Amino acid sequence: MDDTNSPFHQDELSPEDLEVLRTFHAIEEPAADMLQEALWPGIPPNHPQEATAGLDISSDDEMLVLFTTEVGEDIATMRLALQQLEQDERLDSPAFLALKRTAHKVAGTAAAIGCDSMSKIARHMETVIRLLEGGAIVYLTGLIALGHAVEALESTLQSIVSHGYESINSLLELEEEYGVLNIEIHTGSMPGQPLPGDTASTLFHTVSQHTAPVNLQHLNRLEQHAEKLIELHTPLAHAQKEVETALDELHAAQARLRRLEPLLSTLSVSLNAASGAMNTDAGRPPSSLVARILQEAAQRTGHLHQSKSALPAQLLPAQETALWDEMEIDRFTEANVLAHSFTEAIADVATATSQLRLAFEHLNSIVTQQVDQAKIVRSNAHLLRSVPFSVLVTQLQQSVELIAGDQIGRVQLELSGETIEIDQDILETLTDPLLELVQSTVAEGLFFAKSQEQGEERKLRAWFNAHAIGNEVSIEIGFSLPISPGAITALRETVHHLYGSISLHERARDGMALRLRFPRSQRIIQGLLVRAGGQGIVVPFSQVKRIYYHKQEPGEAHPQDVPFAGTPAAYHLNTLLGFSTGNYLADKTFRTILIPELDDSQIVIEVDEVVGEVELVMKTLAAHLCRPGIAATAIDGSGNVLLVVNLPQIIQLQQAQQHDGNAVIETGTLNDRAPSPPQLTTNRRQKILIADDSVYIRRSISLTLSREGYDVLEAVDGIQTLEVLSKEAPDLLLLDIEMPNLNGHGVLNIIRVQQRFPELKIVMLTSRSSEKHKQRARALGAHFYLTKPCPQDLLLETIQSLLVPGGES
Amino acid sequence: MLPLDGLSTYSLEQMSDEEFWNYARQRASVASRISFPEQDDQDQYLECKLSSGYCLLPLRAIIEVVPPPHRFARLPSTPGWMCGIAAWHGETIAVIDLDLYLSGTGNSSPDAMLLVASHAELTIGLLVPGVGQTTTVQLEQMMPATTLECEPATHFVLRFASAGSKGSTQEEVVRGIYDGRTVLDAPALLSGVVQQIERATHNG
Repeated sequence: MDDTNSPFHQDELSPEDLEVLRTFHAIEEPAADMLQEALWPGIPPNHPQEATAGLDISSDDEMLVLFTTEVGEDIATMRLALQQLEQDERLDSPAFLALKRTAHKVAGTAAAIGCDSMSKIARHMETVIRLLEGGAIVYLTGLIALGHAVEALESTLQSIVSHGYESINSLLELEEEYGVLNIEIHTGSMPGQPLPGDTASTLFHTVSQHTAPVNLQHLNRLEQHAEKLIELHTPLAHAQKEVETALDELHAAQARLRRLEPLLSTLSVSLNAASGAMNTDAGRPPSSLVARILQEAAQRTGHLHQSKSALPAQLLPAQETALWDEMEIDRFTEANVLAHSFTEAIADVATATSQLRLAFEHLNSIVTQQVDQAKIVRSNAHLLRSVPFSVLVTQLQQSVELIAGDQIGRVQLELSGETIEIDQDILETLTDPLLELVQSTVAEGLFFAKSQEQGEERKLRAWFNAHAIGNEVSIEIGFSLPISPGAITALRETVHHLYGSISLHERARDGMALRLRFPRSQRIIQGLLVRAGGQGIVVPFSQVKRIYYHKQEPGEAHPQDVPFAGTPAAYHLNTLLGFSTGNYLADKTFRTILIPELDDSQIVIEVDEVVGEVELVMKTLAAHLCRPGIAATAIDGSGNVLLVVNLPQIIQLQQAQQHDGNAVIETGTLNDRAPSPPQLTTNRRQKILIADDSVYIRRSISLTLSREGYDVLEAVDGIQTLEVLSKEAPDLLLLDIEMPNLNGHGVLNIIRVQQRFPELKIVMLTSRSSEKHKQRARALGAHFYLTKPCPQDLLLETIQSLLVPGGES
Repeated sequence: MLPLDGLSTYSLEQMSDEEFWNYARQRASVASRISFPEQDDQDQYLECKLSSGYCLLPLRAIIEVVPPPHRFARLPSTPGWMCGIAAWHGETIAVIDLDLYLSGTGNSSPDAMLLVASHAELTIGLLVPGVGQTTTVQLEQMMPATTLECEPATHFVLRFASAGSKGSTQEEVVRGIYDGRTVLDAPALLSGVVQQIERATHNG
């Protein structure tokens, strides 16, 4: 379970738990403060602006002392936590959280100084903790494994202190012991044990970054459908065989026709020749016997004999109808047989063609079935990633109970749609902002009700409803009282990140409700394929309220210049994306307008045309291709790349630009825009704030940055980071994720919501290296993501590139 | 042994100690730049035609050479030399105009080809006006990039190198000159391209 899954929520802890945590924290901080006092006498601990004043540490030994002291304290914290855990078998206890956080901290700090064995041992501890949380190992085994790891850490640290180098023996012994305990530390699993998570309550507990718990019911269904898909191979093979047979028959028929063709030609030539000979004899029959019979007949009847050729009309021209010989029957039979053969050949071809058509229809039918079956399999595969809405509802309920305490009786909860399946990633992303929303609203509501009530007890009503329509999920969260605007802002950001939309609905008597709409899956996009500036762009259905076709009257002003359909501004999608506009509006009679699904949008979007509806697999963009407002790409059947846009995000960017005075980008691309004005107009030293709970990391980076001429500030946790940001207004923030009190993501979230630091550049510096963390940090506004241990050159280069006025082009 | 750049033994003898050691340091730095691992000696390179000369790209970095697609999808906030993005084996890759990137000029060519190059999980499409033959580069015969002034065919590299705003990896992109053609370092080229594409979003 990573830090995003288990953020440390102080609100969920009892006062006793918080006290225990404070004790743990107090154990760490005095040591660090004492160390600081020893190294920088006279400078108060945790005093950011003076932390680097007069800093002149150049000795590696001193840094080593700092590191060993810090890790020694961390080991002591771990031992204390383990003692607590022996008494209190709770995975959500403060001791467990402290152990988890400290292990992560040691892993990062040790890696930064190059103590790979210690870092690895700490990583093993993190793995064991994940296994414990996922239920893959029993509690006692987990504690034993963690105890061994702490001992290994201690002896490795001892080797550094005593001998000046890091011994690998303890790590090897630990891995051997884990083998005895049957813990596959490298894969993060227990051999022979199923993956945890067949119940909803454990669905969020990922075993590792690369595996996810699986709903067994969905898995069985997927297997059945996959088997059906495989079974389709046999009829498919039969159908193909039929097509092959039909093709063979068609070829044979064609061959027969080819053979007949020269015969017919020869016959035609000979008939022509015969006709020529007949003409020279002026109609006299070639046989004397026949001539005599005919002559007698003519004398008897007075009529000349007329030839009655049996040859088909198509073989003998009209003038040859008198062509016959004395053995007319022979001539008739030969031609008739030929004609029959030809007719049969044509019939054969027709039959073969018909069979081929049938075979093709059959084949198409089978292929259609296979495609349908494949779609079912794909849908089932997506369901593997889904969990019921009830998982989130449970957390929301617990949150409400926690906030309400003994006033829980005054809160009335109404739930529906708990069985609606929603993608795990979506639900995980929504969890924090929704909990924040519910907690703040309920807390305010109870306080307000208490201060206002006059004897009459009024109940606070809250409702959570989920609906699924097609590929979309809609969640409504309502309260019988106003909702905090700050919480809505945070939630809006999150929903937009999920390619969804959010709208606020006020009810006269019932308070307010938020309606969230987003795709059921983040992998398949269903949306409108529109064309803008000659480029195909996909807009998710959930972000479009409706399409409006506006007839442009002659002489009517450009919709970008005047209010359109009652809204202040209409923008062409091409312009919003920063592409050159050209004259796309020149001769258009009808304008195609998309009305975004936003409750407070002041912008409508114009596109060249709506091509149709599409359902495509989304392709995540590589990190260097990620751009604000571009959610992903998709590839159509012709291999064209389509941009999948995040309409609310684009609008938000546009509104921010307007707010900054950059009203409208009329023409030109973003590439052509002049560089932003220099960040610093004076020669003052640039300030960098390092937010990291590791003393060693802070000090080592501080040294590096001070040497480069930066003023350095420090913060030990998330709360202090926010305090320093408010007081000192640094130019750049180096931010760790795992920190006590408020983690890095929380800090990012608050910075983003408050919008008080528009010029601040944020670089994440963390040992969390998964793409998921990177994406989340970027979504929350981080400018760069570096992983520990980070080469000094890379760190400096990144900082320089972000702080150079105008940036690097 | 490295050539003495016209200096005779006599000239060396006439140098002061300081001059001699300065010269030695200069030669040593050149030698270090063109010394490569043993296994690179017989590397195969693909000749690519550019508007102002020819360059050689290591074949091992090129996964595929394909005709370019009819059009590329544009992406916001990208450098001017980036053509856009294209689909390649079901994935989306960035495509750059290598001519424009290196020399600042680029013209559409009917013989244009798309080289799909990859290094360390970075895959980039390089659009070039044309491709020639593959050739074996004898690295010991490769001249250092500092002698570019004598190579008119490779003056684009000078322009490229003088465009200091593009980043600090410019010098590393050019490994040297071989038979009048510029030998490019694919990893340095790709990482520089990726870095600049990524940073363009912050400037956009």
